[in-house]
Amino acid sequence: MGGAARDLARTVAAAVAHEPVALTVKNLSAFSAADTAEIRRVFESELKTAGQPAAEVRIAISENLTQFLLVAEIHRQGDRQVLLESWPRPPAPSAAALQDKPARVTLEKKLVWEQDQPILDVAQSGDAILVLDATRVLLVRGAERQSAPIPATHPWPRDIRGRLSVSDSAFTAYLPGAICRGTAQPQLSLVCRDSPDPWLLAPGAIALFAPDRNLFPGHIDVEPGGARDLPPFYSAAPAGDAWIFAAADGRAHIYTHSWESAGAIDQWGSDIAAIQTPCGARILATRPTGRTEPDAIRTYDLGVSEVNGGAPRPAGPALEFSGPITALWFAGNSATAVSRDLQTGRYAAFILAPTCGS
Amino acid sequence: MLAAPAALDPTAANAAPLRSLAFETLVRLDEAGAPQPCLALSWQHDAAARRWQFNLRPAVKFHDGSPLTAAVAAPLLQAALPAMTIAATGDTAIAIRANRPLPDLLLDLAHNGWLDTGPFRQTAFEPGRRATFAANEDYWGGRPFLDVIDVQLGRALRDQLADLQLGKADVVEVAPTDLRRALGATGLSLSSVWSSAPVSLIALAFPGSDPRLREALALSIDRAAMHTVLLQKQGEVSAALLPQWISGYAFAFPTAPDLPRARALANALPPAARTLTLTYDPSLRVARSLAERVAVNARDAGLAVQVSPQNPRADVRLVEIRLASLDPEQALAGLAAALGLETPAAAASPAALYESERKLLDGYRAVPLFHLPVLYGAASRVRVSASSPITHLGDWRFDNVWLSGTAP
Repeated sequence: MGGAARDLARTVAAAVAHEPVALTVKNLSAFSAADTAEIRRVFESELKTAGQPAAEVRIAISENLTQFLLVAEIHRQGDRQVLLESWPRPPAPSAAALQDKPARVTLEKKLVWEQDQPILDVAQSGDAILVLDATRVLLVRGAERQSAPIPATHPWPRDIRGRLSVSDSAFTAYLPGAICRGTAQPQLSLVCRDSPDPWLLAPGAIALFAPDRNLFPGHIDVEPGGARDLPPFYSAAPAGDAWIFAAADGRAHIYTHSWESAGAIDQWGSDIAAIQTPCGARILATRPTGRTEPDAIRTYDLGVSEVNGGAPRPAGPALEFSGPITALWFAGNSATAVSRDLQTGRYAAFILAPTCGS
Repeated sequence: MLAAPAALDPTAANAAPLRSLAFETLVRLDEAGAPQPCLALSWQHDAAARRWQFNLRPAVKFHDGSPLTAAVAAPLLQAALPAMTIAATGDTAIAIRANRPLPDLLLDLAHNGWLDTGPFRQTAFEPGRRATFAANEDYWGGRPFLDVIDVQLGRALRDQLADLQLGKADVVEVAPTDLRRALGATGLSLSSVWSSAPVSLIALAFPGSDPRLREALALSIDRAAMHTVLLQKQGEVSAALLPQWISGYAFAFPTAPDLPRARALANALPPAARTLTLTYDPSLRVARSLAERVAVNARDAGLAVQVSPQNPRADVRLVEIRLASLDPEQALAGLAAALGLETPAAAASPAALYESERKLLDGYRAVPLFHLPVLYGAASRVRVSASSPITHLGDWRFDNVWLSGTAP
């Protein structure tokens, strides 16, 4: 940027015979105000701006899909001259750079179900979609619908959460203080019972869920490592050997493999999840928004060494939603998210699929 | 007599907007214009950007059910990009090489090398009349929500709007001049108006006539007033052939009228030479009202412009030309050809491209007026779950579109 600005400034200075000019600089690009000020400073250092101007010089910082441009319009004695300098936008990383730098991860969301009642989770079972809400498990296969009721043997918490785990045609629905087991083939079946059994938190990790709250009270059992008691948390994600917990205190706490505290993150919401992408494991996190604001989910590159005092690094653009995220769960190579549309009040469940690029 | 093609050709000049329903490229552009993975999951290149390697997305199938492999894709890409050397270097790896740096290769690949792996399969195609598409059950991104897309081609825009109001169509193209009426009459909300980037050049093209007459007419035109009143501020005022988002320098071509100079030029002509006939194709989106306004502006400069639709002998034509490429050099060459201008010189930099464009416009054989987006209005039952269903160039990406009232 600086070199192009200096080259153009010198060309302009020669074009106006080094006489005084009236200089204006406007920014039509994504450059920051600081960059714009720096470019102005370069031109001011090369051009005479004091004294009676012999020419008017208008500098524009511009861009197209692949280049940044500096465009100088020189108006002098009724004549108009246009001079350009350009430099490429940052290119796609080279092979060497790709090895050093994590690939950019883009999330694509695919709507799989929408309804008026709050959706707790969705899961794919073969060619069918299972939809969990507080009253039923719904099976959607093409135009076919099957529904199995969930008996409410005790009052649900006001902000009920639930989780589906699928293995072949069998599935488990985790609810506060209850567990339902069922099959999706050949017909939808479901058997529920009150149970304090832990929920599947992530592969190889289970945690107790409070029967009368919307959070995990903190007792987890991780393979390997065994049982552990932590502060209450809403969601959790493994990050390599470490763990991250979106805790009830509003911060995401990081623990090493030996369960030593390794810092905390303030920029995340209460829903986080780990996801396997084609370019490795990443963390998904919501924003710390309220229940009446649109939310977004972003992927992060995270290692314990990086978060030990530093902010997490976004691995790709934020995926925006039209309302708050009410559920976010890992699903292996993908994740499921539920959002409440602020306009319609309806709940929409999405499968989030990651792709990698440079 | 040659039979009409029975299938949509994604490389044809008029392939947009249907092309992206059925065809895909190695990369595509996101809403910010940045290349994103599509059929290629990742890529890398050497320091000089002469040698690139693309890794194909696994488990992608062509519409005939055969798998997308590097061995199959490489020759198809080679045919689309003959200036490069393209070869399979593994089951899913493709190498692209050239003797010169290819810094814009991702841009080229976003609109070249179309492969029939898209979310919808063509089921019928009658050029100029009708095209139908069915959901691709094996689509790598998941089956699209819509089962069938039935497209009526060549229907007048006013009729399309009526179809939308009567519930006969779910998505219609809307002229910028009709947007306010569409919003009022149909109850469309702004969120159900879909827009491409400004991809259509509206310009005056002069096959002949006195250069002073051309310049006088060009300098008489008040683009800003037309943009505000007739186009309802849709698109961009422009005196450049390439839109700003493609070239980055369009603003450097002055758009303001210069009525004193226009009058001086007109007055220097013999009275009999101050007359022009302006024609337009009535099927173009905004042609008539713009042509009439050009005539009014010309009168202010002392010129008499007679508007005459579909007149092959007219002195000047009002034309609309859709951009066919995201590559600035290719896009400029395409516009020059469509306007009957000379082929622009090769341009290796924006500065050289600017010079090429400036030379094309010297002499006023073509007078750019606006760059307009393509606008679509969608019925209230049409919903979109992800990014815009319209690409930069105006192609349809309908895999995330569904109809409320039907199971998504």
